Amino acid sequence: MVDPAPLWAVAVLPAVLVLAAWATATVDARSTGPGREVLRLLVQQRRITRAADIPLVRLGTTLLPVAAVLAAAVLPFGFRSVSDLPDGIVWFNAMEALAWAAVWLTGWGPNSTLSLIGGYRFLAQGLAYELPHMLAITTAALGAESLRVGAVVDAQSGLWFAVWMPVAFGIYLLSALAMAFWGPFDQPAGVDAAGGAAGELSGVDRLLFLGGRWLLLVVAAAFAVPLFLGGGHGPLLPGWAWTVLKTAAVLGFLLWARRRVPTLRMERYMELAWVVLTPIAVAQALVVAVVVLAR
Amino acid sequence: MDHGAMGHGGHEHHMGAVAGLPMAERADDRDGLRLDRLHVPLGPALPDWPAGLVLRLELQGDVVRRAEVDPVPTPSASGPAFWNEPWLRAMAGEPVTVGEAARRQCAAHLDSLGRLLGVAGWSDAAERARGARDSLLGGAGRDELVPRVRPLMRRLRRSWTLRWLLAGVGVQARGPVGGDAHSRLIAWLDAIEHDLGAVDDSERLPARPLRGPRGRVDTGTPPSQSLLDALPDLLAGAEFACARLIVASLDPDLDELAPQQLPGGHGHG
Repeated sequence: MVDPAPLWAVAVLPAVLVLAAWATATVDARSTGPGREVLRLLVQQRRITRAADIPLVRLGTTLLPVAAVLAAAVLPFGFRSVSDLPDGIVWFNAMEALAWAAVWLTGWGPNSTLSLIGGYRFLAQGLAYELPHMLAITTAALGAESLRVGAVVDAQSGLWFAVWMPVAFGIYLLSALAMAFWGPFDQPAGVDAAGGAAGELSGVDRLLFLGGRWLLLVVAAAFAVPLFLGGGHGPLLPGWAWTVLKTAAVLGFLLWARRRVPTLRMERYMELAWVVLTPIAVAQALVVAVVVLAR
Repeated sequence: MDHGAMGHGGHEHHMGAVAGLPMAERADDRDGLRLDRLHVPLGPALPDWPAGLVLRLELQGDVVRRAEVDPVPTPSASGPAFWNEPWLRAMAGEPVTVGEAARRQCAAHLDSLGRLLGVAGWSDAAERARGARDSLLGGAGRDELVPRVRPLMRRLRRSWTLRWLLAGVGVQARGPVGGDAHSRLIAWLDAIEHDLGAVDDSERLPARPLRGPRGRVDTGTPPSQSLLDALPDLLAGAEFACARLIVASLDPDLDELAPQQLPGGHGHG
């Protein structure tokens, strides 16, 4: 069972996430390190477009990191999480949907065409990736017969779910990229739309939004560990070390994937997601359900 | 609120304004709904956009309903169009080597390639293409270039995601740029590999036909004009990302359209 962390963990969690995101951005071959960029954005004056809906933009940009941190509340670090909710998987999924709202509001608010297109794109992206994604995380819950993240980790003390649910794991990795609109799924903030949803943001707004995206990427990658990679289970090392190692491995894979693949257009991905990924995700869930029933 | 599109000539006289900005007027879309129409100019400066090109788009959501190419302003250019220079100089009777022309053509295609890959969101490959372009223009030899360019070409040819993204985008039935965006990309790759073999060739460029990176330069009409003419039809109905890919896969060079001075002082174009 995952133990609840002491109360101070609530305050420490955002800091840990920011550190992890900072480290990831530093390691990323494509960035020159976040330090200079963060400083630049902190001192940059905020530009505001004409007839912009400013509260909406502020709400959207703030909501993105908040959603990431809230999603991380159910994330076990070793065998401790801030809150091991009885339906933690549903909580995670709901917080991730909050990020949809964040990106859409940020795209809509500035009253600018290209950022609006970025907002549209994220909704289309959500429709494309969400169905197989939900099936994939449900499959993990099915294998553990519980929606509690701690129970999912416990169920993997012998065999990792990634081993006997490879399809669900693969689909989860794809959707981890998609929910952080990153790598091949970065169309909502695409270069071709001059930055898309983030196109009109500057200064602190931009910092919150793009920083929130890194947080979301870290959280999405880290959640693959309790869901499919056995959480803190592993020989020799303590649980927290295994969590860190496995999360780093998943993040490393996601960073690598961005360099290998161009941005996927969602109208094309929609076909793949609904015609191929959804059926095989259902088939995977069926296999798992049969195994669980026979056990 | 619904005045319909008929008879207003596409402008919003009756809709009132918010904060001094006209409201979008609605029109039927392709799915039989009525959606706002946004009149949006694209260009003249956007990331990975042909410099100087201005498209007037009518967008519904992120779907292009109509596109018009703005008349290209024609500043008098100080020299011949950069990418066509070797051929224009050959036309003026100057001695130009095959290697020089191949080098410029190869660099031109790598330049276009960098832009298409940039729009396709593959920044890693785009940077490699641009790096190769720069060292070509910097005068690197064949032996230095081939090991850099070949692996990139191989990766682009093999990438099924790239094929999946570009296949069926901007299909043009006939003409020098027939096919879809992916077949135009493959044509660039073929040309790059072909020209790469000739960059150190010191023979003199034959007088005719003078084929630059975008087509015949000796026919009087700049080849980019036909690319621009093809744009409105190809863009109508395309989703925004596809529209960007279509423009990048044609990659018109607006330099060609400026009235130019040939090196010999004769007017051209």
